Amino acid sequence: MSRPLVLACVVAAVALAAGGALPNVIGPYFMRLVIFSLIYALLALSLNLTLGFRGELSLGHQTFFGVGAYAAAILATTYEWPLLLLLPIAAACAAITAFAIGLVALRMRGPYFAIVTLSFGVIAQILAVNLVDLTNGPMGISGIGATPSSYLGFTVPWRSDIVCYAMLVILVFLSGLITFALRESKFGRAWRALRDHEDLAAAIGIPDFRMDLLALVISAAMAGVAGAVYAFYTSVVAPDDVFSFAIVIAMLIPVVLGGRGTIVGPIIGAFIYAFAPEYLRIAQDWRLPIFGLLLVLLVILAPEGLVVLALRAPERLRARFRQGAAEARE
Amino acid sequence: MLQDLASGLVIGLAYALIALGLSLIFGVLRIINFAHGEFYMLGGLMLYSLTSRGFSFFPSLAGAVFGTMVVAIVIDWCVLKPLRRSDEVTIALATLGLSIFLANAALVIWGPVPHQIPSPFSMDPLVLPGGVYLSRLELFGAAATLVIMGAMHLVLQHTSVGRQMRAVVQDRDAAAVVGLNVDLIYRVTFAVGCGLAAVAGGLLGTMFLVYPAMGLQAVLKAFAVVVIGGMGSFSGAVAGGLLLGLAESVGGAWLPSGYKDIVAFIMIVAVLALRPQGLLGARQVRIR
Repeated sequence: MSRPLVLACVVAAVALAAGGALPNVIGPYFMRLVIFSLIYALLALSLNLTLGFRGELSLGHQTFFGVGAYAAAILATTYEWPLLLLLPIAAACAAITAFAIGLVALRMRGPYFAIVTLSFGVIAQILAVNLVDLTNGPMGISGIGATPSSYLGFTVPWRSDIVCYAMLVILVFLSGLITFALRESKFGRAWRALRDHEDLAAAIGIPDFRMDLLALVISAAMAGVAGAVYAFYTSVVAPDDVFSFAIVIAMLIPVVLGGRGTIVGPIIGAFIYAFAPEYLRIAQDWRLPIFGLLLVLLVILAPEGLVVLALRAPERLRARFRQGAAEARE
Repeated sequence: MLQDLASGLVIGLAYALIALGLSLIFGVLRIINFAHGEFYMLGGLMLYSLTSRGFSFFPSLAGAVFGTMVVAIVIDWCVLKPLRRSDEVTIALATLGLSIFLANAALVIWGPVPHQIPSPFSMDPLVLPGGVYLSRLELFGAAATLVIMGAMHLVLQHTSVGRQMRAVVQDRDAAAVVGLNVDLIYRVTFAVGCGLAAVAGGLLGTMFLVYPAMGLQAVLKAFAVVVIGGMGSFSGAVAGGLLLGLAESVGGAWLPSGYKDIVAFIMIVAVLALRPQGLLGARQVRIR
């Protein structure tokens, strides 16, 4: 096992072990922030597959989050299925949606792809508002995960902080692992080749359409899982929340902030995105404008992302130091 | 039916005006301006601020358009110029960031409450032949849009600036080689494109209401128009706008309520599936 992988296992294990004590130490308010950070991290890892590795900007990723959330909400309220069973179902629903959307949207590339996915996001929201029989319309669905399940005498309260936290830590870890495995696989190499030079990559025989569809489907499955956990944690899904464009922004900023195409970057970016508002209290009203400006500045000044810059800083300093020492010797 | 057609034409012309700016910017600068709706919004909100301070309508409209163009020039200088040679996704992210910034800054400055701009015309509607009712403002908006489109066409085809713009559209590097100031042409185009959005924002904002979130709705419609008509095509933007306006008002009369806004997106999907370069677009859109 390589070093980063061991490190990731250790961090996940520590985070899991700390879970029991965490709510008592940081209080319920900060616990909520931590849980939302983890949901954002899952979403950021999802968008990172298409934006970071494949280099396609999708502005419709909230659709997959929303489909996952609604799938979980509908099945949980009508059949009282437990969250654990609903996770793969939410992932599958989101993946199927992504496959259907991808068949049309992936005919376009670059910014056109962004426009088309944006349109699909709006269609999904309009459908969620209007298909009242299925989605309960603009009111949304509430009371999700109200009944705890019991296994072998243990009851599992699905929407409690502890359960959601533990589940999310495991899911973020697994998503990171899947991303890592994909990056090292032939698919990851194909995506990078397509990102760096699309026509050349297609010319040497990389099946671009199928590769893009694969990236979109896997990415959507991750977002769908995040949606299911969100539905159980907040116990309410409504079209204005889960299909809102704000979800895409909450996915984009962590990815760009942390570093497109890295794995740790989007996760750290998600925590910064969730926690920064707490420390920007003075700028309460100006929070979103600041995030917008931050996105612009990042793209211009640090396109590789803050986390990547920070991680590389010691190495650069060392190199400069060595260079300085060599010059002094001369 | 005739009434639906007439209101569809009026709205369609306004859509075309927003899309024209978007399409012009795309044609010359090769970027998709995700912040286009925010310039539309700035036009409307600046017009509101000026009229509510007692200025009369037409000077206020000119002031709002001018103010929006100044914002556009500053943005081109600070944000777009450093990114001239970046890849499309990076530029798309930057304009998206601008859109978030402008929309939410407007929310802080103007507040979320929708405002009404007093119409400069009398409110009693005109009855046109065939029993069609249109307000004077709608008629003025349609006429103004047609005049602006005609003027834009003349500028693009028959003036030095227009020829320079078209040269840059054809080949940016060759235009630079023969001595055109490409950077200046970019800036002028961006300002004019955003100015067109501001005019549309002022006119439609007076017909309906102005509020900071109005940009998102508008930019979605403008995207639909340029995808339907064809990216970067002047006639495509006009045809696409009219088509969308008509489809929405006629379709809206048939569809169950709540589904009217879906028409635009169904049309996008249909056009992309059948004719990805748009109805009148050249094959310049990168498609498979």
